[in-house]
Amino acid sequence: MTPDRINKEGRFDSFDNGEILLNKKKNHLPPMGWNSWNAFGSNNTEALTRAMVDKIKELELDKLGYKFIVLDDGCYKPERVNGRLVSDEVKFASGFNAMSDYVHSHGLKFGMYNDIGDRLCSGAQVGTCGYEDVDAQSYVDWKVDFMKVDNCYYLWDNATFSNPENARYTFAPNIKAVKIDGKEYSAVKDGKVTGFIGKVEKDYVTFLGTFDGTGPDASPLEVRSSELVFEVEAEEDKTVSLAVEYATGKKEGVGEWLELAVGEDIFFDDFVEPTESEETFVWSRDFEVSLKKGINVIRVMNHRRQENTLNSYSRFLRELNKLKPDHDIIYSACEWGKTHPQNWAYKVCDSWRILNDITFRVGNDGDPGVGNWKDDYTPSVTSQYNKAVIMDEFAGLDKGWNDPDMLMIGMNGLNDTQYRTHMATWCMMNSPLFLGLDLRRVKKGDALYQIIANKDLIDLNQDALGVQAKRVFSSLAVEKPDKEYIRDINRVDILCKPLSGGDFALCFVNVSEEDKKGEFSADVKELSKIFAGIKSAGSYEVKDLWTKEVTENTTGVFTVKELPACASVTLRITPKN
Amino acid sequence: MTTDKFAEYVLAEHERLLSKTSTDIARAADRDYLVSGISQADLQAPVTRKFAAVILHRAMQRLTREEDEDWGIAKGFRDIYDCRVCANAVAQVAVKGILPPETNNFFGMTDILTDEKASKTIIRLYNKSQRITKLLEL
Repeated sequence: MTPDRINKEGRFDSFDNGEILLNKKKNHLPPMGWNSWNAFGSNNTEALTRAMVDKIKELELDKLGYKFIVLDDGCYKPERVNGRLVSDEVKFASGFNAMSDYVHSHGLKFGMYNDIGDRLCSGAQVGTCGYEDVDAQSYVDWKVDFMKVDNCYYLWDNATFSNPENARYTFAPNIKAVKIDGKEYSAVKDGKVTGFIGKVEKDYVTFLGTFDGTGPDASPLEVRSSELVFEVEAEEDKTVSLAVEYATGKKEGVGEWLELAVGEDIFFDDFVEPTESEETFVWSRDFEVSLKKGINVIRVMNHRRQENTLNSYSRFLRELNKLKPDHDIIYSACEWGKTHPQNWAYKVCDSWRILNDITFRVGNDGDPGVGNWKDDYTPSVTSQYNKAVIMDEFAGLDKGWNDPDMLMIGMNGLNDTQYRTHMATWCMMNSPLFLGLDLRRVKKGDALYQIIANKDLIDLNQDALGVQAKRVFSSLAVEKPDKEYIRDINRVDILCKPLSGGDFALCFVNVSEEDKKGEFSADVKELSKIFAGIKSAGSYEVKDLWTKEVTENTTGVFTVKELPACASVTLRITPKN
Repeated sequence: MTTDKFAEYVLAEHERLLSKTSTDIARAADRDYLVSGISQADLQAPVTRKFAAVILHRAMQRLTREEDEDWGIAKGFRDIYDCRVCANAVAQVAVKGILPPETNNFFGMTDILTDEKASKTIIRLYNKSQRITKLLEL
């Protein structure tokens, strides 16, 4: 098997055109529900899932919007049977149809999990790769309303548990020179490296590909891939020969797959002949290319990390569409930010994970698992928040939602204040809201219930305007609080979210684990410059969404004094005459 | 030793070292729990350190009822986050001194566990006095 040919619509050059593919449905608000992973990991069962369904009904969480019941990894028999997916014989002995019927009979929606690789992350050999048509039929038969699709064991990249040498698909070879119409151009002296990851090494250019975004190291806002470009002037339209001096490898940074283009016209997109080593350079065969009169941009690149992944997520949607053209299945990409899905996933998916998991210490029956507030890597509330909070430009009803992963409310390792801020910020950021706790631990009216069932906060998340909050202030921002990727948590942020009907919400967040003294303010005059829908008024009704206290403000300046460690204040503001 | 044999070994030693006796039904249920989600191909393959960690951790959950600990030095394993489904299992067997990392900062998820090391590991699972306490001095 080799990666598919890619049409123009699935190319890197089309990522910014705003066009969705395969008739993906728009205008879905962020999905809400319960997912088995954080609560039970691979040990979820039919009995536990039924118990969660019963508790959602008992707690009336469905009336607040928690509709999707999603079976995550660990629910399948680890091998296909006659080529088809089947349920784990012990954990889901009654089968997925019975589970789906149970969920639907309670007025809820049924969600399942799979993977674009050939295995699931658990190792079960039932990934969709190559089985998209068969699996789509199974999911249609099981009346699935939601699909979470992971990225382990992916064949066309060096994803988790994939062959590390799969990087050969996703990086260009090292490039020393190109020869165009008989003239040789040095990669280092004559070429220009664009973007973030490519670099000069000795007398060649390397790392022509896309930065791996699984970890929290890089901002989501800048171009995370690199090309080597040459500007070549032609006196007239003409066809010339072009060759590349290259050396191949099979690791992050140097691969065997090359994309060559003049402007947006790609004339080569395939493997090149491997070389003896990463520094043993050879000349490619000659390609015929057409140059236009004037300046031509010759691009040497490999965007396959993003293009392959988009293509793989598309393959599954295409099969679902064939079987059920009018389906309204919510499609959740879980490729962990590896390929910067904020650039492309809006085309086929409803949400996209932005980082690796929010916790690696998931629970079990009787064990709530552990979540963290802070971590150097991804498993913490703040690691996810720090990135998601500046990603508002990628979200919207016409696109989909940034997904900073499932909620950790109810897990050990976090206190009630941190739970509340976790809930408030996820609601402000229009994140999908998936509960990840054993709901049998929740009683109506108790502390956990008050947090997960805060209707005022959920109303922000589900507001019909569908706008992710923008960070309008950060005490550590130098210039642009909405654009700067700030990982130091010793700060206070203010988020602003326009709402339908002219209302807006403000969330004052002490991200720090220390109390913050002083005053933090947002002025409606400044906010109205950022958001067209926010207008100054003579007075404002201000509702604190945790205390429920309603006050009147006549200044248009909204101030919070002193924020305890990890605390937040969330206000809904209604302009009056 | 295959993954399947390793799981059988964990169960057998539980009965032998702790003088437990189980009914066939209970033993089958325990076995199902230990190897749940592991494919037949993986069960028949030589046991990797990550599958050993998963089985050992499940044994701690089901057989010995041992509580998880903070990750400690396991947070520094550069391959710990390669496996969302086994990261905690790997961390637990490492910090408890049951299955130590290959180096101070690398667990070695996909490397094969030799028979000799598998035996020692299972002894350390059930006998806390045999556990390795100075991981940083490895």
